[in-house]
Amino acid sequence: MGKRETADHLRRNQRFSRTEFRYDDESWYVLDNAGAFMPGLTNSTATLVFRISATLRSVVVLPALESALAAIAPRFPYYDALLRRGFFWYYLEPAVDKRTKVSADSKYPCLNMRARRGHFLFRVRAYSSRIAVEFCHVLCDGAGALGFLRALVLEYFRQLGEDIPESEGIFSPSEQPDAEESEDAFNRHALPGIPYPGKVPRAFHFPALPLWRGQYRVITGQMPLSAVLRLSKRLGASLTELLTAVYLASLQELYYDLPGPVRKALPHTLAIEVPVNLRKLFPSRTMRNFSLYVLPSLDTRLGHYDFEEIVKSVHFFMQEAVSVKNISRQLSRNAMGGRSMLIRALPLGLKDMAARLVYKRMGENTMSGSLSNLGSVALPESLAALVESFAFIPAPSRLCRTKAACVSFRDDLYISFGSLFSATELERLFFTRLEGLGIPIDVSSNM
Amino acid sequence: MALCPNCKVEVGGSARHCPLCHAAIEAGEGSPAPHRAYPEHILDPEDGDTLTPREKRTVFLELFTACSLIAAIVVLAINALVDGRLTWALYPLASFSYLWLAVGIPTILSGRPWLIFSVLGPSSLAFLLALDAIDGSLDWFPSLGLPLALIFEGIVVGCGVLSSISKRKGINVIAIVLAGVVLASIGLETVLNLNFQGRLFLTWSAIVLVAGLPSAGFLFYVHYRIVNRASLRKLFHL
Repeated sequence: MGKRETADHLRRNQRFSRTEFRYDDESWYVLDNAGAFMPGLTNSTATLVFRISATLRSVVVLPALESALAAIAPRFPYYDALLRRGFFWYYLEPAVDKRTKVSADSKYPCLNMRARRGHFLFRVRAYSSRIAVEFCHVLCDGAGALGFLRALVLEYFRQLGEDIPESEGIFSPSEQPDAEESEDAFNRHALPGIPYPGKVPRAFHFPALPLWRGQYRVITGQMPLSAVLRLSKRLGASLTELLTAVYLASLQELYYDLPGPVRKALPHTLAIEVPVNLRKLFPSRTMRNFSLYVLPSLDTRLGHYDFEEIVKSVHFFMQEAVSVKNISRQLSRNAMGGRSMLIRALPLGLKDMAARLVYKRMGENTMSGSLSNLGSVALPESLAALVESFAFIPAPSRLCRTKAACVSFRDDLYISFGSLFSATELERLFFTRLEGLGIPIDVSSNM
Repeated sequence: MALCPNCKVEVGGSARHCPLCHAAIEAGEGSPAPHRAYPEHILDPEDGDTLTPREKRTVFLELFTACSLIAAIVVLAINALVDGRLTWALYPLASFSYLWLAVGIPTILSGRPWLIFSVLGPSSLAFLLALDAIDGSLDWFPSLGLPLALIFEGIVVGCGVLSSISKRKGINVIAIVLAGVVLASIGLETVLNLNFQGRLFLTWSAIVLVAGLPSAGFLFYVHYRIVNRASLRKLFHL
C-alpha cells in the first residue's frame, strides 16, 4: 500500500474515530473498538477492572482527596460518564446528576464493579497513604488510567496547599479536554485490505483450584529497577522481554512438574500476552483504549528450553512482532470487524453472546498468562518527592490462572500478580528465579 | 484531623463517622502507622446496591402478589361482564388464592419448614373443600379429596420427620422418600378402589410395594452397614 493510499484511508477513518456525539443539548460517547465488546464480558468477578495506585509519603487527607476528585473529574468527561445500553451498542452518557466519590478500599481489589448496571466505570479508593484508581477496561487502558491518577495526585497536593508548578504531560483541571483525547485511535489507524493475523493455538493453563467467590489474591514484589535493567542488558533483552522470559520459564517449570499423562492431555503451547501501548507506534493522544498485544510463546513439543534460550526467543519474537506493520494487521482486523454491517446490525444481546464466545476462543484460550508493563511513571521532581511508590494490579481473569502487571517509579520496580486461584506456585517460581539471578525482592500480599 | 481506624485516612475535623467505611471516629484517636498493605475488611463500593436476601424476598412477594391480584381481577371482571354474575371465575379465584399461599407462605416463613407445613397443610384441605363446595354441594371431597390429602400430607410429614432426625443424612433420605412413595401408592389405590369398586384390593400398588420396599431396604443397608463401616472400594474390589 502506497503512502498516498494510506493517507487517503487515514482521512476516511476520521468518520469512525470520532466517539463524542452532540445533538442539541444531548451528548454521548460511543465506546472505542476494544471497549465496545467488553461490557458483555464482565461480571462481579471477571470485572475487567485493573488498578493503579500511588502510595504517598503521608496519610491521605480525605477532604482534600474528595475536593481534588471533584475538581479533576470534569477534566475527563469521557470517564465521567455512565454506561447505557442501546439497541445495537453500549454507549456512555455524561453523568449529569451523579458525581463519583472516593470509596473505601477493600481487602480484595478490582472486584465487584457492575459495569452494566449504570455505574461509573472507574472509582477512586483511599487507604492509609495510598490513593488507588480502578478502571474498567471498557473505558481505557493503563496509559489512560495512569494519566488520570497523575492528574489526581497533583491536584490533591495542590488542595493541600503544596506549590507544584504545571507540568507537561499532567492534565490540569483548568484545561479544556482535547477532542483527540476521546478518539477511537484503533479506527483512526486501521487500514483496509491488509492481511489479518493467523490463527493462534490454544495455550496451556495449569490446573488449579479456584479461590472462594469474592476473593482475589494479589502478590506484589518490589525490587531495584537498576539491578533488573543491568540484568536485562547483560542478557541482551529489554526489561519487558526479560520479565516475559522469567514468566515463561516459570510456566515451563510448572508444565514439566505435572505428571506425564496429565501434561499430554493439555495444550502444549505456553504463551504470554504482552500488551503493547500503541501510542508509541501510532501518533495518538487518546485517553481511551489504545493497546493490543503480542504473544511470545514456547512450543513444548520441541523439548525443554534453557533460560538463555527463552530470553533469546522472546527477544527476537518481540523485535519482530512489535512493529507498525505487524500490529497493523491485528488493529485492522479488529477495527474492520467492528465496521462490518453484519456485526453492527446485530442486536446487543446477540453481540454480547458472540463477544463472550470470541473472547474465550480467540482471547483467554490462547494465553497462559499475561504480563503488562506500564513503564516508568514520570512526575515533576516537586511532586515525586511526595510520592513513595506506585503499583499496578491486573484485572482478574477466570481462565488465565495468574496475570502480572508491573510499573516502575524512581529506582523501584513493582510487579503484581493477580489470581482467582489458590495455587501460588507460579508467583513463587517467578520471584525465586529472579532472586536466583541476583535481584533482591521484597514480597507482600493481601491474603 | 481524626484518623479512621479502618481506612487509616484523615477525615474532616468534625466527622463522627468515616465517610468511606462508616466506622465511628473517636475523638483524639491517633492510630500508629498502618502495618498492612491492604485493609482487613472486604468492602466494595457497590455493596450498597445489592439487596439482602430478606429484601429480595420482599420484592418478590410484592411482585407476585400484584401479579396474582391482577390475574384474579381480570378473571372476575370477565366472568361478571359476560355472565352478569360470578360462576366459573370462583374456580380460578380459589386456585389463585391457593397458589399465592403455596408460593407466598414459604417466601414469608423462609427457613421454618414446620411452620410452613402447619399453614400449608390445612390450606390444602381448605382449597380442596372450596373447589368441591363452589357448586353448592359436597360430592367428592369427603370420600376422595379428604382421605387422599390426609394420606399425602401424613406421608410428607413422616418423611420430613424421619429425615430430620437422621444424624447422618445421605442415601437413607432417598430410602425414606422411596418408602413414602410406596405408602402413597398403596393409600391412593386403596382409596380409589374403595370408592369406585366398593372393595379393598391391591394391583399396581402391590408391584410398587414389591419393587420399592426391597430397594429402600437395600439403600438403608448400604447407608447404615456398608458406607458407615467399610470402604466401598475394598468391598467391590475386582
